[in-house]
Amino acid sequence: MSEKPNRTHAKRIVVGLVVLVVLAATVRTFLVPKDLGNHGSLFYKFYRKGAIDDELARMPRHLTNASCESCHTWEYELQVNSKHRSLSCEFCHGPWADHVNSEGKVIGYLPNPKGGEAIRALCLRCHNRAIHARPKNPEVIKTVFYPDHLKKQNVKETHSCDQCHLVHAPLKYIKQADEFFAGLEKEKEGARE
Amino acid sequence: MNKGRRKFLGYLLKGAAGSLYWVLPMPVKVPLQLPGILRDEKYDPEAHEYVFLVDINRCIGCGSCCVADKREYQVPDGQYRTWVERYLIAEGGEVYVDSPKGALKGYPEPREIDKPIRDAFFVPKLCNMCEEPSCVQVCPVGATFKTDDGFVLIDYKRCIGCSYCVQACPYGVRFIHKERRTADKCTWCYHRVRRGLLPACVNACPTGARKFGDLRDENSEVAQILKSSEPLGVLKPDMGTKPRLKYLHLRQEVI
Repeated sequence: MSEKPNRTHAKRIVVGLVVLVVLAATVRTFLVPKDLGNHGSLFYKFYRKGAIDDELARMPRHLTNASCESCHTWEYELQVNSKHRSLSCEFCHGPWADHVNSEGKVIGYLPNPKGGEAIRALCLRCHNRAIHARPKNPEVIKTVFYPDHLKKQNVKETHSCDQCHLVHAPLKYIKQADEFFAGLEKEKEGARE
Repeated sequence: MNKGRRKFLGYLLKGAAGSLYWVLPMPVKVPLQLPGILRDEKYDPEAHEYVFLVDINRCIGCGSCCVADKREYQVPDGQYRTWVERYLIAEGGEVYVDSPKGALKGYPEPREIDKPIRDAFFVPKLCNMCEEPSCVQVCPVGATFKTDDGFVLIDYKRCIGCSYCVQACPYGVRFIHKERRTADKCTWCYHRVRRGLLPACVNACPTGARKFGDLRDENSEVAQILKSSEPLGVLKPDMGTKPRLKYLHLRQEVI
Protein backbone atom coordinates (compact mmCIF):
# COMPACT_ATOMS: atom_id res chain seq x y z
CA MET A 1 0.00 0.00 0.00
CA SER A 2 3.04 2.24 -0.28
CA GLU A 3 1.93 3.37 -3.68
CA LYS A 4 3.05 6.90 -4.56
CA PRO A 5 0.13 9.35 -4.46
CA ASN A 6 -0.81 10.74 -7.87
CA ARG A 7 0.18 14.46 -8.02
CA THR A 8 -0.38 15.08 -11.73
CA HIS A 9 -3.13 17.64 -11.05
CA ALA A 10 -0.83 19.67 -8.77
CA LYS A 11 2.00 19.55 -11.32
CA ARG A 12 -0.37 20.70 -14.02
CA ILE A 13 -1.39 23.70 -11.99
CA VAL A 14 2.25 24.65 -11.24
CA VAL A 15 3.31 24.26 -14.88
CA GLY A 16 0.26 26.15 -16.05
CA LEU A 17 1.01 29.02 -13.67
CA VAL A 18 4.66 29.21 -14.73
CA VAL A 19 3.68 29.28 -18.42
CA LEU A 20 1.11 31.99 -17.69
CA VAL A 21 3.61 34.18 -15.83
CA VAL A 22 6.26 33.82 -18.54
CA LEU A 23 3.71 34.54 -21.25
CA ALA A 24 2.39 37.59 -19.43
CA ALA A 25 5.91 38.91 -18.86
CA THR A 26 6.84 38.52 -22.56
CA VAL A 27 3.63 40.09 -23.80
CA ARG A 28 4.02 42.92 -21.32
CA THR A 29 7.53 43.78 -22.48
CA PHE A 30 6.21 44.07 -26.03
CA LEU A 31 3.09 46.07 -25.19
CA VAL A 32 4.29 48.51 -22.52
CA PRO A 33 6.30 51.36 -24.04
CA LYS A 34 9.95 51.56 -22.95
CA ASP A 35 9.70 55.19 -21.90
CA LEU A 36 6.69 54.66 -19.63
CA GLY A 37 7.74 55.10 -16.04
CA ASN A 38 8.37 57.36 -13.13
CA HIS A 39 9.85 60.65 -14.32
CA GLY A 40 10.17 62.46 -11.00
CA SER A 41 7.09 61.67 -8.98
CA LEU A 42 5.08 58.48 -8.78
CA PHE A 43 1.94 60.50 -8.11
CA TYR A 44 2.07 63.08 -10.87
CA LYS A 45 4.90 62.19 -13.24
CA PHE A 46 4.34 58.53 -14.10
CA TYR A 47 3.96 58.77 -17.85
CA ARG A 48 5.25 57.94 -21.31
CA LYS A 49 7.94 60.44 -22.23
CA GLY A 50 6.99 60.30 -25.92
CA ALA A 51 3.60 61.81 -25.07
CA ILE A 52 5.28 65.22 -24.80
CA ASP A 53 6.70 64.79 -28.31
CA ASP A 54 3.27 63.75 -29.56
CA GLU A 55 1.83 66.97 -28.14
CA LEU A 56 4.65 69.00 -29.70
CA ALA A 57 4.08 67.40 -33.11
CA ARG A 58 0.81 69.32 -33.24
CA MET A 59 1.43 72.32 -35.50
CA PRO A 60 0.08 75.73 -34.51
CA ARG A 61 -2.96 76.52 -36.64
CA HIS A 62 -3.06 80.15 -35.55
CA LEU A 63 0.03 82.32 -35.81
CA THR A 64 0.42 85.96 -34.89
CA ASN A 65 -0.60 89.18 -36.62
CA ALA A 66 3.04 89.63 -37.65
CA SER A 67 2.82 86.47 -39.78
CA CYS A 68 0.23 88.18 -42.03
CA GLU A 69 2.49 91.18 -42.62
CA SER A 70 4.68 89.77 -45.41
CA CYS A 71 1.78 89.42 -47.86
CA HIS A 72 -0.87 91.80 -46.48
CA THR A 73 1.37 94.75 -45.66
CA TRP A 74 -1.20 97.44 -46.43
CA GLU A 75 -3.83 96.03 -44.06
CA TYR A 76 -1.21 95.26 -41.43
CA GLU A 77 0.15 98.82 -41.44
CA LEU A 78 -3.37 100.20 -41.12
CA GLN A 79 -4.20 97.89 -38.26
CA VAL A 80 -1.08 98.23 -36.05
CA ASN A 81 -1.44 102.01 -35.90
CA SER A 82 -5.17 102.02 -35.22
CA LYS A 83 -7.51 101.59 -32.29
CA HIS A 84 -8.04 98.02 -33.46
CA ARG A 85 -4.38 97.04 -33.00
CA SER A 86 -5.17 94.55 -30.22
CA LEU A 87 -7.46 92.49 -32.46
CA SER A 88 -6.25 89.26 -34.01
CA CYS A 89 -6.43 89.10 -37.82
CA GLU A 90 -7.38 85.44 -37.58
CA PHE A 91 -10.47 86.14 -35.52
CA CYS A 92 -12.34 87.65 -38.49
CA HIS A 93 -10.42 85.98 -41.33
CA GLY A 94 -9.97 82.43 -40.01
CA PRO A 95 -6.83 80.56 -38.95
CA TRP A 96 -3.52 80.99 -40.73
CA ALA A 97 -3.20 77.26 -41.43
CA ASP A 98 -6.52 77.03 -43.31
CA HIS A 99 -5.46 79.84 -45.62
CA VAL A 100 -1.81 78.98 -46.26
CA ASN A 101 -1.84 75.18 -46.18
CA SER A 102 -4.69 74.91 -48.68
CA GLU A 103 -2.27 76.19 -51.35
CA GLY A 104 -4.56 78.94 -52.54
CA LYS A 105 -7.85 77.05 -52.35
CA VAL A 106 -9.07 78.85 -49.23
CA ILE A 107 -8.51 82.60 -49.34
CA GLY A 108 -9.25 83.39 -45.71
CA TYR A 109 -12.75 84.21 -44.64
CA LEU A 110 -13.59 87.62 -46.01
CA PRO A 111 -16.79 88.85 -44.40
CA ASN A 112 -19.03 90.18 -47.15
CA PRO A 113 -19.70 93.83 -46.33
CA LYS A 114 -22.49 94.16 -48.93
CA GLY A 115 -25.29 92.84 -46.79
CA GLY A 116 -23.99 94.40 -43.60
CA GLU A 117 -24.89 91.25 -41.69
CA ALA A 118 -21.35 89.89 -41.38
CA ILE A 119 -19.89 93.25 -40.46
CA ARG A 120 -22.50 93.77 -37.80
CA ALA A 121 -22.12 90.24 -36.40
CA LEU A 122 -18.37 90.75 -36.00
CA CYS A 123 -18.49 94.34 -34.69
CA LEU A 124 -21.32 93.73 -32.27
CA ARG A 125 -19.40 91.07 -30.40
CA CYS A 126 -17.65 93.92 -28.60
CA HIS A 127 -19.48 97.15 -29.49
CA ASN A 128 -22.85 96.15 -28.10
CA ARG A 129 -24.64 97.81 -25.22
CA ALA A 130 -26.53 94.55 -24.55
CA ILE A 131 -23.35 92.83 -23.39
CA HIS A 132 -23.56 94.87 -20.20
CA ALA A 133 -20.18 94.09 -18.60
CA ARG A 134 -19.50 95.96 -15.36
CA PRO A 135 -22.55 98.28 -15.53
CA LYS A 136 -21.43 100.38 -12.56
CA ASN A 137 -17.94 100.88 -13.90
CA PRO A 138 -18.13 101.54 -17.64
CA GLU A 139 -14.62 102.98 -17.73
CA VAL A 140 -13.01 99.53 -17.53
CA ILE A 141 -12.95 99.20 -21.29
CA LYS A 142 -13.36 102.43 -23.20
CA THR A 143 -15.22 101.93 -26.45
CA VAL A 144 -18.35 103.02 -28.30
CA PHE A 145 -21.48 100.92 -28.18
CA TYR A 146 -24.34 100.08 -30.48
CA PRO A 147 -26.91 101.66 -30.55
CA ASP A 148 -25.79 104.55 -28.29
CA HIS A 149 -23.10 105.67 -30.72
CA LEU A 150 -25.50 105.78 -33.69
CA LYS A 151 -28.04 107.80 -31.69
CA LYS A 152 -25.39 110.24 -30.55
CA GLN A 153 -24.19 110.76 -34.13
CA ASN A 154 -27.79 111.18 -35.38
CA VAL A 155 -27.56 108.17 -37.68
CA LYS A 156 -30.27 105.60 -38.41
CA GLU A 157 -29.88 102.36 -36.45
CA THR A 158 -30.07 100.35 -39.67
CA HIS A 159 -26.73 101.73 -40.85
CA SER A 160 -23.81 99.33 -41.08
CA CYS A 161 -20.60 100.14 -39.16
CA ASP A 162 -18.46 100.13 -42.31
CA GLN A 163 -20.48 102.92 -43.90
CA CYS A 164 -18.41 105.37 -41.84
CA HIS A 165 -15.56 103.27 -40.47
CA LEU A 166 -12.77 101.36 -42.13
CA VAL A 167 -12.80 98.13 -40.14
CA HIS A 168 -9.01 97.76 -39.99
CA ALA A 169 -8.45 101.34 -38.84
CA PRO A 170 -11.79 102.66 -37.57
CA LEU A 171 -10.80 106.33 -37.27
CA LYS A 172 -8.83 106.70 -40.52
CA TYR A 173 -11.64 108.09 -42.69
CA ILE A 174 -13.16 110.00 -39.78
CA LYS A 175 -9.89 111.84 -39.23
CA GLN A 176 -9.51 112.48 -42.97
CA ALA A 177 -13.03 113.92 -43.13
CA ASP A 178 -12.39 116.08 -40.07
CA GLU A 179 -9.22 117.46 -41.64
CA PHE A 180 -11.01 118.07 -44.94
CA PHE A 181 -13.85 120.02 -43.31
CA ALA A 182 -11.44 121.96 -41.12
CA GLY A 183 -9.59 122.93 -44.31
CA LEU A 184 -12.87 124.07 -45.91
CA GLU A 185 -13.68 126.24 -42.91
CA LYS A 186 -10.28 127.89 -43.11
CA GLU A 187 -10.74 128.54 -46.83
CA LYS A 188 -14.16 130.10 -46.16
CA GLU A 189 -12.70 132.37 -43.48
CA GLY A 190 -9.86 133.30 -45.81
CA ALA A 191 -12.37 134.20 -48.58
CA ARG A 192 -14.37 136.40 -46.22
CA GLU A 193 -11.34 138.33 -45.19
CA MET B 1 1.61 71.30 -42.30
CA ASN B 2 1.56 67.62 -43.20
CA LYS B 3 5.06 67.69 -44.66
CA GLY B 4 6.48 69.38 -41.58
CA ARG B 5 4.69 67.00 -39.30
CA ARG B 6 5.85 63.92 -41.24
CA LYS B 7 9.42 65.16 -41.15
CA PHE B 8 9.17 65.82 -37.43
CA LEU B 9 7.74 62.37 -36.73
CA GLY B 10 10.55 60.93 -38.83
CA TYR B 11 13.05 62.62 -36.51
CA LEU B 12 11.25 61.12 -33.56
CA LEU B 13 11.47 57.59 -34.95
CA LYS B 14 15.21 57.89 -35.51
CA GLY B 15 15.85 58.38 -31.81
CA ALA B 16 13.12 58.87 -29.24
CA ALA B 17 15.22 59.78 -26.20
CA GLY B 18 16.37 63.36 -25.92
CA SER B 19 14.12 64.54 -28.72
CA LEU B 20 12.70 67.10 -26.29
CA TYR B 21 15.65 69.34 -26.97
CA TRP B 22 15.45 69.43 -30.73
CA VAL B 23 14.48 72.52 -32.58
CA LEU B 24 10.75 72.46 -33.12
CA PRO B 25 9.49 72.99 -36.68
CA MET B 26 7.64 76.24 -37.33
CA PRO B 27 5.37 76.88 -40.33
CA VAL B 28 7.00 80.32 -40.84
CA LYS B 29 9.43 82.45 -38.89
CA VAL B 30 7.51 84.90 -36.73
CA PRO B 31 8.79 87.12 -33.90
CA LEU B 32 8.69 85.47 -30.48
CA GLN B 33 5.80 86.34 -28.21
CA LEU B 34 7.37 84.63 -25.21
CA PRO B 35 10.93 85.98 -25.01
CA GLY B 36 12.17 83.27 -22.63
CA ILE B 37 12.09 80.53 -25.24
CA LEU B 38 14.79 80.64 -27.86
CA ARG B 39 14.03 78.33 -30.73
CA ASP B 40 17.62 77.40 -31.46
CA GLU B 41 18.68 76.56 -27.93
CA LYS B 42 18.10 73.63 -25.64
CA TYR B 43 14.93 73.91 -23.63
CA ASP B 44 15.20 73.32 -19.91
CA PRO B 45 11.71 72.62 -18.55
CA GLU B 46 12.84 73.11 -14.94
CA ALA B 47 13.87 76.71 -15.66
CA HIS B 48 10.36 77.88 -16.51
CA GLU B 49 7.29 78.49 -14.41
CA TYR B 50 4.30 79.46 -16.48
CA VAL B 51 1.29 81.25 -15.09
CA PHE B 52 -2.04 82.09 -16.68
CA LEU B 53 -3.85 85.17 -15.41
CA VAL B 54 -7.45 86.10 -16.13
CA ASP B 55 -8.53 89.66 -15.39
CA ILE B 56 -12.27 89.56 -14.76
CA ASN B 57 -12.56 93.37 -14.90
CA ARG B 58 -11.27 93.42 -18.44
CA CYS B 59 -13.33 90.60 -19.96
CA ILE B 60 -16.14 91.95 -22.15
CA GLY B 61 -17.59 88.58 -23.15
CA CYS B 62 -16.84 88.86 -26.87
CA GLY B 63 -15.96 85.16 -27.13
CA SER B 64 -12.90 85.64 -29.38
CA CYS B 65 -10.94 83.28 -27.15
CA CYS B 66 -13.52 80.51 -27.51
CA VAL B 67 -13.57 80.88 -31.30
CA ALA B 68 -9.76 80.81 -31.50
CA ASP B 69 -9.63 77.75 -29.29
CA LYS B 70 -12.24 75.84 -31.27
CA ARG B 71 -10.39 76.55 -34.51
CA GLU B 72 -6.92 75.80 -33.15
CA TYR B 73 -7.91 72.31 -31.98
CA GLN B 74 -10.94 71.68 -34.23
CA VAL B 75 -12.97 70.82 -31.14
CA PRO B 76 -16.26 69.05 -31.98
CA ASP B 77 -19.49 71.03 -31.65
CA GLY B 78 -20.94 70.98 -28.18
CA GLN B 79 -17.61 70.40 -26.44
CA TYR B 80 -15.45 73.15 -25.01
CA ARG B 81 -11.83 73.36 -23.95
CA THR B 82 -12.47 76.89 -22.76
CA TRP B 83 -15.65 78.87 -22.27
CA VAL B 84 -16.85 82.17 -20.81
CA GLU B 85 -19.54 82.37 -18.12
CA ARG B 86 -21.79 85.37 -17.52
CA TYR B 87 -22.47 86.24 -13.90
CA LEU B 88 -25.35 88.50 -12.94
CA ILE B 89 -25.71 89.42 -9.27
CA ALA B 90 -29.02 90.91 -8.15
CA GLU B 91 -29.40 93.49 -5.40
CA GLY B 92 -30.62 90.78 -3.01
CA GLY B 93 -27.48 88.71 -3.59
CA GLU B 94 -28.99 86.13 -5.96
CA VAL B 95 -26.47 84.88 -8.51
CA TYR B 96 -27.45 84.04 -12.09
CA VAL B 97 -24.90 82.21 -14.25
CA ASP B 98 -25.22 81.21 -17.89
CA SER B 99 -22.99 80.42 -20.83
CA PRO B 100 -24.99 79.92 -24.04
CA LYS B 101 -22.93 77.79 -26.47
CA GLY B 102 -19.86 78.41 -24.29
CA ALA B 103 -19.83 82.03 -25.56
CA LEU B 104 -18.83 80.87 -29.05
CA LYS B 105 -21.29 83.42 -30.47
CA GLY B 106 -20.54 86.00 -27.78
CA TYR B 107 -23.34 87.49 -25.74
CA PRO B 108 -25.54 89.33 -28.26
CA GLU B 109 -28.70 89.14 -26.12
CA PRO B 110 -29.00 90.52 -22.58
CA ARG B 111 -30.39 88.13 -19.98
CA GLU B 112 -33.76 89.40 -18.75
CA ILE B 113 -34.11 89.29 -14.98
CA ASP B 114 -36.92 91.07 -13.13
CA LYS B 115 -34.76 92.07 -10.18
CA PRO B 116 -32.39 95.05 -10.21
CA ILE B 117 -28.84 93.99 -11.06
CA ARG B 118 -25.99 94.98 -8.75
CA ASP B 119 -23.10 93.67 -10.80
CA ALA B 120 -22.54 91.86 -14.09
CA PHE B 121 -19.28 90.37 -15.28
CA PHE B 122 -17.75 87.57 -17.31
CA VAL B 123 -15.54 84.74 -16.10
CA PRO B 124 -13.46 82.84 -18.66
CA LYS B 125 -12.87 79.23 -17.64
CA LEU B 126 -10.10 76.89 -18.75
CA CYS B 127 -7.76 74.26 -17.33
CA ASN B 128 -6.41 75.32 -13.93
CA MET B 129 -3.12 73.39 -14.36
CA CYS B 130 -3.07 72.41 -10.69
CA GLU B 131 0.15 71.85 -8.76
CA GLU B 132 -1.55 68.81 -7.27
CA PRO B 133 -3.95 67.68 -9.99
CA SER B 134 -6.66 65.26 -8.89
CA CYS B 135 -7.20 64.14 -12.49
CA VAL B 136 -3.64 62.78 -12.61
CA GLN B 137 -4.00 60.96 -9.30
CA VAL B 138 -7.00 58.95 -10.46
CA CYS B 139 -5.78 57.91 -13.93
CA PRO B 140 -5.39 54.11 -13.85
CA VAL B 141 -3.09 53.85 -16.89
CA GLY B 142 -0.75 56.82 -16.49
CA ALA B 143 -2.27 58.59 -19.49
CA THR B 144 -2.36 62.02 -17.85
CA PHE B 145 0.61 63.60 -16.14
CA LYS B 146 2.39 66.74 -15.06
CA THR B 147 5.39 67.88 -17.09
CA ASP B 148 8.50 69.37 -15.48
CA ASP B 149 7.42 72.85 -16.54
CA GLY B 150 4.07 72.44 -14.81
CA PHE B 151 1.66 71.60 -17.62
CA VAL B 152 -0.90 68.84 -17.09
CA LEU B 153 -1.10 66.96 -20.38
CA ILE B 154 -2.88 63.90 -21.77
CA ASP B 155 -1.27 60.97 -23.55
CA TYR B 156 -3.92 60.36 -26.20
CA LYS B 157 -2.40 57.04 -27.21
CA ARG B 158 -2.55 55.57 -23.70
CA CYS B 159 -5.91 56.98 -22.65
CA ILE B 160 -8.61 54.29 -22.52
CA GLY B 161 -11.48 56.74 -22.12
CA CYS B 162 -12.63 55.52 -18.71
CA SER B 163 -13.48 59.14 -17.75
CA TYR B 164 -12.31 58.87 -14.14
CA CYS B 165 -10.44 62.12 -14.68
CA VAL B 166 -13.56 63.80 -16.04
CA GLN B 167 -15.26 63.05 -12.73
CA ALA B 168 -12.24 63.94 -10.62
CA CYS B 169 -11.67 67.43 -12.03
CA PRO B 170 -13.23 69.93 -9.61
CA TYR B 171 -13.41 72.56 -12.35
CA GLY B 172 -15.17 70.47 -14.99
CA VAL B 173 -12.68 71.26 -17.74
CA ARG B 174 -12.27 67.68 -18.97
CA PHE B 175 -14.51 65.86 -21.42
CA ILE B 176 -14.46 62.72 -23.54
CA HIS B 177 -13.67 63.80 -27.10
CA LYS B 178 -16.55 62.75 -29.35
CA GLU B 179 -14.41 61.55 -32.25
CA ARG B 180 -11.22 60.32 -30.57
CA ARG B 181 -13.04 58.70 -27.64
CA THR B 182 -10.31 59.78 -25.23
CA ALA B 183 -10.22 62.38 -22.52
CA ASP B 184 -9.38 65.90 -23.69
CA LYS B 185 -8.91 69.29 -22.10
CA CYS B 186 -7.23 72.66 -22.42
CA THR B 187 -3.40 72.34 -22.58
CA TRP B 188 -2.60 76.06 -22.36
CA CYS B 189 -1.45 75.47 -25.96
CA TYR B 190 1.69 73.58 -24.94
CA HIS B 191 2.69 73.13 -28.61
CA ARG B 192 2.53 76.91 -29.13
CA VAL B 193 4.25 77.88 -25.89
CA ARG B 194 7.21 75.64 -26.62
CA ARG B 195 7.55 77.40 -29.98
CA GLY B 196 7.61 80.80 -28.28
CA LEU B 197 4.02 81.73 -29.15
CA LEU B 198 1.27 82.76 -26.74
CA PRO B 199 -1.70 80.41 -26.29
CA ALA B 200 -4.28 80.89 -29.05
CA CYS B 201 -6.87 82.41 -26.69
CA VAL B 202 -4.39 84.92 -25.23
CA ASN B 203 -3.34 85.90 -28.76
CA ALA B 204 -6.99 86.46 -29.74
CA CYS B 205 -8.10 88.41 -26.64
CA PRO B 206 -8.66 92.04 -27.70
CA THR B 207 -8.74 93.56 -24.20
CA GLY B 208 -5.87 91.77 -22.48
CA ALA B 209 -8.17 89.95 -20.09
CA ARG B 210 -6.16 86.79 -20.59
CA LYS B 211 -2.46 87.02 -19.79
CA PHE B 212 0.20 84.36 -20.01
CA GLY B 213 3.86 84.41 -19.10
CA ASP B 214 6.87 83.03 -17.32
CA LEU B 215 7.24 83.85 -13.62
CA ARG B 216 11.01 83.33 -13.76
CA ASP B 217 11.23 86.18 -16.28
CA GLU B 218 11.28 89.25 -14.01
CA ASN B 219 10.11 91.61 -16.76
CA SER B 220 7.09 89.61 -17.87
CA GLU B 221 3.67 91.12 -17.28
CA VAL B 222 2.51 88.23 -15.09
CA ALA B 223 5.57 88.48 -12.83
CA GLN B 224 4.95 92.19 -12.39
CA ILE B 225 1.29 91.61 -11.52
CA LEU B 226 2.05 88.82 -9.06
CA LYS B 227 4.54 91.09 -7.28
CA SER B 228 2.09 94.03 -7.18
CA SER B 229 -0.80 94.56 -4.75
CA GLU B 230 -3.50 93.54 -7.26
CA PRO B 231 -6.10 91.21 -5.73
CA LEU B 232 -5.54 87.65 -6.94
CA GLY B 233 -7.60 84.53 -6.36
CA VAL B 234 -7.98 80.94 -7.45
CA LEU B 235 -11.10 78.87 -7.97
CA LYS B 236 -12.11 76.43 -5.20
CA PRO B 237 -9.01 76.88 -3.00
CA ASP B 238 -10.44 74.41 -0.46
CA MET B 239 -10.00 71.52 -2.90
CA GLY B 240 -6.26 71.64 -2.22
CA THR B 241 -5.36 71.41 -5.88
CA LYS B 242 -3.27 74.62 -5.89
CA PRO B 243 -4.25 75.93 -9.32
CA ARG B 244 -1.66 77.68 -11.44
CA LEU B 245 -4.46 79.63 -13.16
CA LYS B 246 -5.00 82.84 -11.18
CA TYR B 247 -7.91 85.27 -11.42
CA LEU B 248 -7.43 89.00 -11.02
CA HIS B 249 -10.25 90.83 -9.20
CA LEU B 250 -12.09 87.59 -8.49
CA ARG B 251 -15.52 87.93 -6.86
CA GLN B 252 -16.49 85.60 -4.05
CA GLU B 253 -19.63 84.52 -5.95
CA VAL B 254 -17.57 82.83 -8.66
CA ILE B 255 -17.29 79.05 -8.37
